Amino acid sequence: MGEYANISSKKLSQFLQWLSRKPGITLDPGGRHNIKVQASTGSAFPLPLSHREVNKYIVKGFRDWLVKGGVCTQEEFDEHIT
Amino acid sequence: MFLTVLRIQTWFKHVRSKVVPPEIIPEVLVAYYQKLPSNIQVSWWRDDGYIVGNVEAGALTFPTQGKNAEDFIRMINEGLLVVLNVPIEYSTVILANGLFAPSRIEREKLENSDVLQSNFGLLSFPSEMVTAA
Repeated sequence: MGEYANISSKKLSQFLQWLSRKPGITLDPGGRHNIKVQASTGSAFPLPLSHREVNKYIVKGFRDWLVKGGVCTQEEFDEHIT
Repeated sequence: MFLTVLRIQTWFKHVRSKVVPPEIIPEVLVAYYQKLPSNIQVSWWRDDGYIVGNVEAGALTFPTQGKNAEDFIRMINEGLLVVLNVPIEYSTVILANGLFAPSRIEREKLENSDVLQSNFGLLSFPSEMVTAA
């Protein structure tokens, strides 16, 4: 999947359910409007799940952050995000 | 369901903080303020009814979005504290006292739907809060 579409928060939360089972990943409230996805490296990514939809640019950024951090492969991401 | 649980957690923590304010240690608060970068760069554009942007804060970068100008600025501030790993009880204090705010001109661009994209750089927070703490 080269390009992403906007993802509904509901679908993204289903993805996060899968992601939360990955070792070293924790999910916490990140303020009133974000969900904080934290890797074991200490790096954190804010997901704007208070909105109904998450923009494709953020989805791609989130993918890059996960892949770069070794949390999952791009193929795994693509498989579970859809 | 998963998202609902997280949202309930957030709501519960917010309500609890109103009833039983968390202990804020002044020295720790000052330390978190000192973690804040001296400047941030924001590039933004409009896409599918949202303002979408990329925030660069020193070595850290993250994308964010907002439904309107006010929401976008709020999301920048919240996102910044997330990537800096500031605990939520301290984030609440820092955000309540004001953090990042664009200039009036840049804010007008954000509020003007005819302006499709722009970028700006600024970090502003009340330094008197740091010394007072």
